[in-house]
Amino acid sequence: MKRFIFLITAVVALSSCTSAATETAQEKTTTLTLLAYDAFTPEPGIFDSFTNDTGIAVKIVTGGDSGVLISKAILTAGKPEGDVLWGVDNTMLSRAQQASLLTSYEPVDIGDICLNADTDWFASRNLAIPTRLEDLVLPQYRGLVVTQDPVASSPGLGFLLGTIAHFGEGKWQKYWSALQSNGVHIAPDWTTAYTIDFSGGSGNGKYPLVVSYGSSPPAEVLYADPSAPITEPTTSVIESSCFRQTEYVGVLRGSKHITASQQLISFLLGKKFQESMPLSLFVFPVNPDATLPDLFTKFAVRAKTPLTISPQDIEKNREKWLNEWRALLL
Amino acid sequence: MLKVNNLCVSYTDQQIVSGLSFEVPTATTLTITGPSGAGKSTVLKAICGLVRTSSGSVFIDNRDITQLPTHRRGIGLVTQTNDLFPHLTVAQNIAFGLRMNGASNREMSDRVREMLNVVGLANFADRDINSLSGGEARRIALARSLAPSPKILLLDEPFTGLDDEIRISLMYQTKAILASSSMTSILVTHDHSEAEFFSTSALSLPPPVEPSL
Amino acid sequence: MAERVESTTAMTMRRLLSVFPIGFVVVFLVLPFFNSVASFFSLSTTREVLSNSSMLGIVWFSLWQAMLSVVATMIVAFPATWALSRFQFRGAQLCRGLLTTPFVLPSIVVAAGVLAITHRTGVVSILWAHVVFNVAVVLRLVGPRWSLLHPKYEESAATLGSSPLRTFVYVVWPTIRTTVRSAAALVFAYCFTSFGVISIVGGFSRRTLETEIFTQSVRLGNMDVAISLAIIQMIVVLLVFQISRPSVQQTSSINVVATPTALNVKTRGRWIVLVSVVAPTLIVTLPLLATLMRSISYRGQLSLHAWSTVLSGTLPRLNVSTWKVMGTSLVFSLATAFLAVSLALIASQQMSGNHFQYSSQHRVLRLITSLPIVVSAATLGLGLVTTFNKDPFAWRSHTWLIPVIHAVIALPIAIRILEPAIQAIPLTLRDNAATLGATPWQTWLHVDVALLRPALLRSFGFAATISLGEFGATSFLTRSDSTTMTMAISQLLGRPGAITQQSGYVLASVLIVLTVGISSRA
Repeated sequence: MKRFIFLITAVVALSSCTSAATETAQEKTTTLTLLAYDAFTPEPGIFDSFTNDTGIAVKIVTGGDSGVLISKAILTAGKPEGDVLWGVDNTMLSRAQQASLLTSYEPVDIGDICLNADTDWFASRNLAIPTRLEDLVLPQYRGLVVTQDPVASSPGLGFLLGTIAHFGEGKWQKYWSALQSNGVHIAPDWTTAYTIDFSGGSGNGKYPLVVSYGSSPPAEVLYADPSAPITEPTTSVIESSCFRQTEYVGVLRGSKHITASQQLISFLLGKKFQESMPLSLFVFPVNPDATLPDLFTKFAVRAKTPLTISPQDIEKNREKWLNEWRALLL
Repeated sequence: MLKVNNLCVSYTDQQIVSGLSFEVPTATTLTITGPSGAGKSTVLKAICGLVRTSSGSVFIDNRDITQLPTHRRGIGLVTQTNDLFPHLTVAQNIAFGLRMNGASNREMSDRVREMLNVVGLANFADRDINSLSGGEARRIALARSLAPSPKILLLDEPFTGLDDEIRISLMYQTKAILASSSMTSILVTHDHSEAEFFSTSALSLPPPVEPSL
Repeated sequence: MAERVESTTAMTMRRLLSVFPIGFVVVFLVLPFFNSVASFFSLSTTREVLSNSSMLGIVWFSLWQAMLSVVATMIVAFPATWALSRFQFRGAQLCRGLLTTPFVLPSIVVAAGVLAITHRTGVVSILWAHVVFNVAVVLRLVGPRWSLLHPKYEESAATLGSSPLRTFVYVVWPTIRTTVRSAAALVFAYCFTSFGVISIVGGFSRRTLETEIFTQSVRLGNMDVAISLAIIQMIVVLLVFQISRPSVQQTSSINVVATPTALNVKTRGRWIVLVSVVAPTLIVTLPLLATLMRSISYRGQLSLHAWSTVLSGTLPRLNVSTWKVMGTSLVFSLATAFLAVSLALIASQQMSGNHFQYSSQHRVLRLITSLPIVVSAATLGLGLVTTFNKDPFAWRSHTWLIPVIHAVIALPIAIRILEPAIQAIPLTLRDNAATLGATPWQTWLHVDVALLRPALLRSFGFAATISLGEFGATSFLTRSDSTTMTMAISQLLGRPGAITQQSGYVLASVLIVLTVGISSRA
């Protein structure tokens, strides 16, 4: 018993220490809270120079995946959990605007949601990797595709929006019926699709085509098993399937540090931070001055003519499209 | 000297003990007999404060203890069910009362040894409670009750359910212990031979009143 | 029996103490939940939901998959519980640890393991995953009760000419019935409100109330629909608890300590005992083995690189070290366990106290402390964020809120472990302590708490493991620098790259090993 009590005291002491530390910091300098999704892992120490130059400390807090984060932010609009929000993308931008979530916002990074192929799988079967969305309904590609539930997963939604952009309103439904007859598999989320269902990467599933990102192949190289290092990724991207995802960073309505927040956003858009993004967040910079690392220029795909739909059209139709999609596939 | 004055105990609407009065002079044993349900055990529980009395009072040496909580009455109780603490050893069971009063380790081990000698189980200190025979367990329970030196000892059918041979030897032993420690005691039993063997005075409770249906 | 004496101070103390568990649940669960309800409930939406056939389909599917899951869990768990609580043999502790471990694992780990074997989503995989998770509940709740039944009762029944079946029906079943019912209700509640398992192994077309609540509130922004569904879910689970509530308080005069029979070569039916343990252990362990396999294999080759990476302290792509993550999990789980067990002890002593049986206070306490299983995790999570956002209650981003919410969630099961154990303490032991001069406080400490030690340890372990694995309501809270093992596992598995993924499986394996260690001791 005594030991437990000691531990609890230790915990209490620990938490009171940290809160005391933040209080004193607030007295001297401004501490900005950067609110982001769980997967936000910037390069360690990247904000040090910003703090040195401006005297503004940055505290990163994370809270759920991007969907959870935006829903919470909308529910608490005006009483935000932070000052700056990272992670609204073009599929949710209009929803955020309607809730007047952000007082100002800017695009901060781009990435493409694309089909990835297990190159070994196709090579060993002498089968050509499909190059167009239309190929996926051909008999030789039967039962090879895994995508995600667009209701639950943002890459799943991106892929659906890509097919809508490509085939057009009124025609995409026919394409999806054909995909379904050709054995498309729907996973609940990216993790399940990529780590369990996909045959490529480190997976051992049975689907050699998966909806993922244009930046997944370089991640496969950078985080390959060093006992079996690879110089070229074993996955490739089908460029014509890419749907453009743009992420925004903005100042949350209700923040008391508007000027400081603007300074932070300028830093996030500056060359230094933008150049750190590819290998820490696996997204492309929006700043034209930022140079890309070799790994990205060689293996990552940023489609030259990506599939796009405007945020307004997405917001206007999302629920209708999702319901139609559910009606088709369920 | 223990004095009980007009003791009444009731449960819901039913009187279990109604207006009982008696005295037990110092260093004597009162035996209470009576059929099942007559309220014998309830009388003992009321005396040591385990059940609430509806009226009446209890005195030890002319001091009214009716309002005192059980643990401050200084009355020991030995029951027929084997209520040794299953998580403690024999020695720890016997030392329990002393430990509660803040006795030192030295005092406790001395007293435990003394009490084990009194009940004739000198080598039993470290035994596990679950390894004791019925007779051994009763003797340990007796030792445990005597260890904190109570002013009064209440014995609730302590010999029930034992083989004759063990029962008789335990009766002799108990009587000798009570005498040598000049203990004031009450023995509840349904067995008249036990009552005759122990009593300096006797009390017989009437059968319970059938509740009207 | 006459009315037992309890001093007025003791009575007042007890009444005052019961404020703690009630207040705790009210503040951290009822308040945020009803705040959500008050902000978003709409009668017309509820009416629409109730007349929408696809929504009713979801309710129906939630119900029948949960009932099937309960049956399947019982079929697997019952023989193992019997064998492990009645017999002692080499490996019994290990089997107990293996059987109870999955309860704490993140759904993705168990689900991935199940899918690695079944290769298909659907009802069979759901049932398997639910069995894997919930065998622990039956074992932990029913086992201790069953082991209290001294073999001498069964032996005497046998000598009276009773067949094993009749002995079970007339001697064993009446003793364990209450706990079996309460375990079944708990398993039903967990399966009925299951989220991770359903969304991963159910396949995307299988929807339950909890997954739909999440979809509607978080993905589609239809808070009103989500709230209607959450209320329906709450009513169903409360009804189940009402039905499973013990009708007559079980009085127990049975032995507090019974030693399991040592299983030796001569014990009759030795093979039955072994099979009863080994078969369920295999069913539960196979999906875990799949996790271990993935942590050491890379495209069919043996590779220990992820292990050496993680054990050297690095988690690829996460800006936090292995030790920090493990430390956070450890601190959270200890804090949770301490809080949950203290509150559960107060609550269960209240509920098993003679004075309060079936009084209204007893009923309120029981209802309130059951609520944490009943309330939808997504609704609670969003409720916390929207409720604790004003000074002086702006607690939503405080780190301490996480173990506090874990403790709320662990409370019902901690109570279900402690309450029967408290009831099993014979009143006469307390009487004896009092006549030996022990004050009520001393009696509580040296008799009650001392005898409850195994149950206290068990509930402590269970609460700690709930904290290790919880990934529902608190995943809605914002955190800074407080990544737990469970979160790190799901982050690692959620990114491409062989080392990243394998490290996720390594961390999951470490979690498995740690939990087997804890569970086979507690």
